[in-house]
Amino acid sequence: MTTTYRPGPVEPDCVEFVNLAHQLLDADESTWDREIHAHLASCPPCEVYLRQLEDLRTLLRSLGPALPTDDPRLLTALKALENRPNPTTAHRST
Amino acid sequence: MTVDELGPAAVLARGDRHEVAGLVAEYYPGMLRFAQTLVPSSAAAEDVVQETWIAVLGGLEGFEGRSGFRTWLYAVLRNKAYRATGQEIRLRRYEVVAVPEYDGQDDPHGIAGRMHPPGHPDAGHWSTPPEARFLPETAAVNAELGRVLAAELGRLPDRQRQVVLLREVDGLTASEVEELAGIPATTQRSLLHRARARLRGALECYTTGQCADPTHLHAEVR
Repeated sequence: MTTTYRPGPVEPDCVEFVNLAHQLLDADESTWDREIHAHLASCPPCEVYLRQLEDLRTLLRSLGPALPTDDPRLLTALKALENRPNPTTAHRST
Repeated sequence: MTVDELGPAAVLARGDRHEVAGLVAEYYPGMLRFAQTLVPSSAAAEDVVQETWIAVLGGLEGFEGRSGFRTWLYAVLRNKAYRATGQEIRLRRYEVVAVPEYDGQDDPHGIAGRMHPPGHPDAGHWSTPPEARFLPETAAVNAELGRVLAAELGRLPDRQRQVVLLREVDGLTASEVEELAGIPATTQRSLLHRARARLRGALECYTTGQCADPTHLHAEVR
C-alpha cells in the first residue's frame, strides 16, 4: 500500500490575512477555514488586528444612545400626534 | 410596556403618547445621523427628521409591514431629504450606484508600509504590527473612544459614512441598504472595508500612537 502525500491548502500570510479580515468579521467564526484558525493561532499581530476590527464594530454599535425623554426635539415631534386622524374614523368613508 | 416589548408598529398604532415618546427617542439619533449624510447642514438634517416624525406620527405615512420598521422609517426620511434638497428620487434598481466612491485611498486596509516587502526574508508578514486591541475584554465601551470614532466618522466620504452608519451602527442588512440608498451589496462591501480601515486607523493612532495618517494624532475630538 502506498501513501500519497497531499499538502493541505497553504496557510495565508499576514498580507493575505488582512485582505480576508473584513470577510471574516462578517462570517460566523465556526465557518472559517482551518488555515485561518492556524494562522491566527501562530500570529499574534493578526489576532490583534482582527480583534481591533471587532472592537471597532462594538464601538460603532454603541454610538448614539436614545434621546433623553425631556429633549425638546422629542416634544416637537410628538405634537404631530395631536393632528393624527382618529384611527376608528379615518377610513370609514372608504 | 417598552417599545421593544410592543414592537414599533404596534406602538404607532396605539398612539399612546408615553410609548410613542420612547419610540421617537430611540430612533431619533440614528435618523439624524442618516439625514446628515443626505442634506448639507446639521440644521437641515434636524428639520428633515422633524418632518419625518410629523408625517409618521400625524398619520400621513402608513407602515404596511412590507419592510422592517427602521428601513421604512428611513425611506420616509430619505424622501423628505431629497425633496428638501430638490433632488429627484431616483432609486430604481437600474440606477443604483455602480462605482465605489474613490477617496484617494490606495491602501484600502490602512496598513501601508507595515508589512515586510517582497524580497525580504519575512515578506508578507508584519514589520510594524498592531500593538493592542482597543477594548480590553472586560471593559465597558469607552466614551472617549466613542468620541474619537464619531469625529472620524464625520470625516469619512459621504457614501462610506452612509454605509457604515446604516450597516454597522443601525444594523441594516445589505439588501435593506441597497433598497434605501441604492448602493449594491458589492459596492457596500468595498465602501465598508475602506471605512473600517480608516476608522480602525484613527482608533489605533489615538490609543497607541501608531499613526498611518498623522492628522489623526492631533485631530480634534468633538
